[in-house]
Amino acid sequence: MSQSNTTIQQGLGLDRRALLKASALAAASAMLPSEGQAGDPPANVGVDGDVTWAKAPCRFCGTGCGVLIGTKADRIVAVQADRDNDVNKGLCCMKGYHVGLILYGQDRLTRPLLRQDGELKPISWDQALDLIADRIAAAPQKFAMYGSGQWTIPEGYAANKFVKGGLGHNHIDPNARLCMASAAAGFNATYGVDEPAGCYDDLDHCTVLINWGNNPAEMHPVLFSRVCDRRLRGEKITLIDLTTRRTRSSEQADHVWLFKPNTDLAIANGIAHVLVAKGCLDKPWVQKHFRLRQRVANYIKAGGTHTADYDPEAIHPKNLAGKDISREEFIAALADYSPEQVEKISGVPASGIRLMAELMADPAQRVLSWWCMGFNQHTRGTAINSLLHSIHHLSGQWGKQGASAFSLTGQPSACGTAREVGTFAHLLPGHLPVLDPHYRGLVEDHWNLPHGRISGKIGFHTVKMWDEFCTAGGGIDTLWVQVTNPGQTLPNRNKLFLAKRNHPEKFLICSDVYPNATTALADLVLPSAMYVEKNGMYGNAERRTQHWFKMVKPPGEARDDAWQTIAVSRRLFDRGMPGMKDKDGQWLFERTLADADGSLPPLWDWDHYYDRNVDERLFEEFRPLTKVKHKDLAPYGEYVKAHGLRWPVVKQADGSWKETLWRFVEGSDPNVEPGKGLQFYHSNSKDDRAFIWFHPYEHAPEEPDEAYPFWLCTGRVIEHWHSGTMTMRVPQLRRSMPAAYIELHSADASRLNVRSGDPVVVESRRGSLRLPAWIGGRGQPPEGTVFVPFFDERLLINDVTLDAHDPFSKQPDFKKCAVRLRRG
Amino acid sequence: MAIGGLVIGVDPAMETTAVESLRQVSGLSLGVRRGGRWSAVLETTNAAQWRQAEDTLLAIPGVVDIEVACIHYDEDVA
Amino acid sequence: MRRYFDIFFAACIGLAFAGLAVGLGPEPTVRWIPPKPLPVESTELPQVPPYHLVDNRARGPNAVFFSHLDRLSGNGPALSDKVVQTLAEKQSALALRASRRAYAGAPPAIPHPVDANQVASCLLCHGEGKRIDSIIAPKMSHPPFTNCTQCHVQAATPGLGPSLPVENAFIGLTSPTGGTRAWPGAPPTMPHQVWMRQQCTSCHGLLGRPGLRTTHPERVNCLQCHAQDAAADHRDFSRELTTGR
Repeated sequence: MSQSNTTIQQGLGLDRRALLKASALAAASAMLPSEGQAGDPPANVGVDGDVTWAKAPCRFCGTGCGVLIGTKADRIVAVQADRDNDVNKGLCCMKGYHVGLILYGQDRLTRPLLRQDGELKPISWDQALDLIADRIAAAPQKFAMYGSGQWTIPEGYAANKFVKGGLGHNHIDPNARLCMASAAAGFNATYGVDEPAGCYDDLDHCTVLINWGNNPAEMHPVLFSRVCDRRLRGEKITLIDLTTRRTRSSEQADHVWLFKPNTDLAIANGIAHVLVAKGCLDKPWVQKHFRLRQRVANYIKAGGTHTADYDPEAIHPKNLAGKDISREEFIAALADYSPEQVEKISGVPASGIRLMAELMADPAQRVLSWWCMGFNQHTRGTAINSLLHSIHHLSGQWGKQGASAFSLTGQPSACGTAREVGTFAHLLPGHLPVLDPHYRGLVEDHWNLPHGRISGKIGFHTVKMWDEFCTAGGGIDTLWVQVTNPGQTLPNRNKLFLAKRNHPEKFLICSDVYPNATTALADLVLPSAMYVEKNGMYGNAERRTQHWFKMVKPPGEARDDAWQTIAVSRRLFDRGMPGMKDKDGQWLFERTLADADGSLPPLWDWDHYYDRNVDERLFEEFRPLTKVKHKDLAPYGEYVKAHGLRWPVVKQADGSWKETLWRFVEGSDPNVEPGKGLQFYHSNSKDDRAFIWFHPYEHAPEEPDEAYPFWLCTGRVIEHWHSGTMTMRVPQLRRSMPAAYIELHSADASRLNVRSGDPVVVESRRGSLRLPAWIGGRGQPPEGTVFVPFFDERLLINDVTLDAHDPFSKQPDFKKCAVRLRRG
Repeated sequence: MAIGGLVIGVDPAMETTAVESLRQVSGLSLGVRRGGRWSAVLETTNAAQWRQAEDTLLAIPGVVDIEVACIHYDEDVA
Repeated sequence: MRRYFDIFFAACIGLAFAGLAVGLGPEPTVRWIPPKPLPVESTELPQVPPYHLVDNRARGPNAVFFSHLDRLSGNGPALSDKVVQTLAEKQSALALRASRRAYAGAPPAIPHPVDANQVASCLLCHGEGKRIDSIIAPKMSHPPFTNCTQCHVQAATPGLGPSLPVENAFIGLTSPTGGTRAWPGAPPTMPHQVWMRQQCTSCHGLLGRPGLRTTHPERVNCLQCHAQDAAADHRDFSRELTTGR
């Protein structure tokens, strides 16, 4: 024993025979049956026979695949991919195929729980609703709701109306703030209106696909294989992977260019530089439909780097749309971004920059760019989103089948509920800004509320909301969380979440389905119905609204989130709270929920909640508001029949309803006047033009230095979705990816003297975490970069990440910060 | 020289005695057990001995089957 | 003499390393390491040693890998082989299938380690199907796609874990055990949907498991005789898919 240890430690090495033996043993051991698999009997006895199938969108990401859920005897027993849904055409990913299992984790929350003497103890729903009503009635202005892009459309609408129409303030924000707020700001800055112009059909027509810092093979696998599978049919598609580490997506790519974190702005500018040199600015298309634009002033005060150094005047929301820049200034601004210069900044070869520009300038190509959290979780998220639209405008790779700049989303209804229903602190339903008194009046009339009820003051955005909640004397003292897990997903968790421990006077309410990092600190936990235990509607990344009906009963006393909101509202109305009355003294939801003859069944009573289709009534009240920004939705009944419809959905002469594939494009978008070709009818400059932006590349707020020499990048894996509350309870997914890890380059590993499986401590200026190393694993970061996935609730990387955020979207940059490593 | 990795399937009812016998086999080293099967390394001096050893293993009461994961065979080395 | 010394020395080191690899050291009087006492299920598998631990000594002659060639070659089933199906074989084949799926119709888990980044490595065996002794790598049951690990989870990823210990009470649909026959001897109808199982030979062809294998592999147009189930295929348009309860 001592001899062998000494031998290895002294680095004398193994002889060949010993190596062969060790290798042979490893090879044989790899063939042993995996735990709980092959040879073991199936864990559960199955059910046979007749199964009822019904359609639903998948519960997980923003792709919005259609699934068929098979139920028998009030339980889900199987899942199939929906062949009639144009999103996924009969294929899912591993999460979708196992979506039925998320209902059956054995620690489902089934009773309302109140924290008494430090422990959560069961109480009745009646007591729970009274407690919430007490807290709200005592200080309605200090109550806030924190929701999510997983709220169904009717749930989000009910919560939004309850807070903005009932309580008269705007302290409601969704977790989408941490997810795609920068994408929304980029669309608004460029087009004057949110959400993508293109759709997934572009995937079937593009000839060039550029991944901008995303890993679609794992994160949007169904969409990625929709493109890659075309190659099996003999089509030629040039796939370019711009990434900060090699991923599964890189394996499919023709060109893989690793870039240094935060230099994506330089790369986009490099492409614009070449396009301008090719004379793109002189094209009639560019001159007719676009304006050149730049920011109003530097965001950061001289010498600053961080969020705290933002110049409040420069980053005021009124400056989102920037200011005009002359042709000469635009060209001069891009002069610093020659391909050679960009190579120095970013690490992408100058020839690569030129190749991308050449492909974009070639009218025979159809170039599709797509991106997700890499762009959005970025301190220049709004800027890089705007730049991507801009290079597509400049090159003409826009508004044609297959030529588009597409923002992917992470949550099933980030578009539907966060953006369209406007559950952000600055929006009203229909994506109408609360700052605009005209829109406030319009919504007040629609809701039959007295004028002045809706506040013109933007509410607290996510980071601010939690900061106020976790600070003594802060503006929020009761916070109700629905359908999300901020205890795990907020940045700088110590400051923005765990600090709540020090404030017993604050009251955290959490509606959820499983115990998680948020319920761990909650004072009141409400058990919710999930997914197909309730009716619902979701809106996916390509503007597609999808519908499902309740298929199984929720367990125990778990109840719909929308019911919870409505029941609390009714309780406050019964107590005489003025905000819960409309201008005729009727309950806030009276007109929403009443039958055609005006009579109102007691839907706030759970036993009667499903006497009517509450979802349909909430949706039908919401629907007219979508027309203002030309996001027209069809009547509820159309979504019941269809496998999703993309807005604007417009009624045809024959009475049918037609969806829209490409917005702002004549012939596709019914709002474009004949003869215009393109018409940006919500243009910020009121002249039907969109913008071509210039934004400079700037350094990240924190970059590796001598003390903290590594980049830390965080992200996701295919098996798990978000904080893993659901997917970690699916045995198949959990076995495949049981725990978080840290990926590092073999050279770095060698210097640290770690091998796969050895513990590594990753440490930033904010916190540290101990994780097993994985070298040569699923992703391969370059030297000097490490990667950690964020799904594992026991290994929370957000204790390490930075909370610096984008000046307009307020979205934090979870994606990069400086860390140091040591063997743990 | 022949060095190879094996997976040995063992009858659960006779596992204790079977493994005892396997331990006695010259040139065989047992590795780890999982799912009722064992990994092992076998070393013999030549191919003929290897085949003999396999037959010996299969003859052990309680040994159900053998899967060969890999064999490295080096004619010139004993 | 020198040569024997080298071999002896090598054997010592080799012995020691093998001991290290299984986590136990050798005892001086025993040639090979003692195994762990029974029954110990191991979660940690030994790792292949990295190449930098190998010394620079000159390598021997070219390695020759072989296996039981006599057992492997030509011993696969032939078209003309008579196939006798037994109920026991069928049940065990269905049980094996069930152990790799959450429910009938779920994409099966991958029961072996994979290079999850390389589709080509999957296709090597599953492209056309392969059989090595008792191990069967079935041909893909569906048309080829480019991202295998999009749908197929690994049954386990060695080296990572442990994970959240939450049980799941899901009970999945079982595989149908057979189609219906109009009369004894009539071709059975298809008891499952065709979608994602377009390639009948994956389970029912020559490389199919005993019990599922067809008795007449020489016939290639399966749908000529075996009728599909419109309900299983969701092509029964009289049934309203969209209404739940």
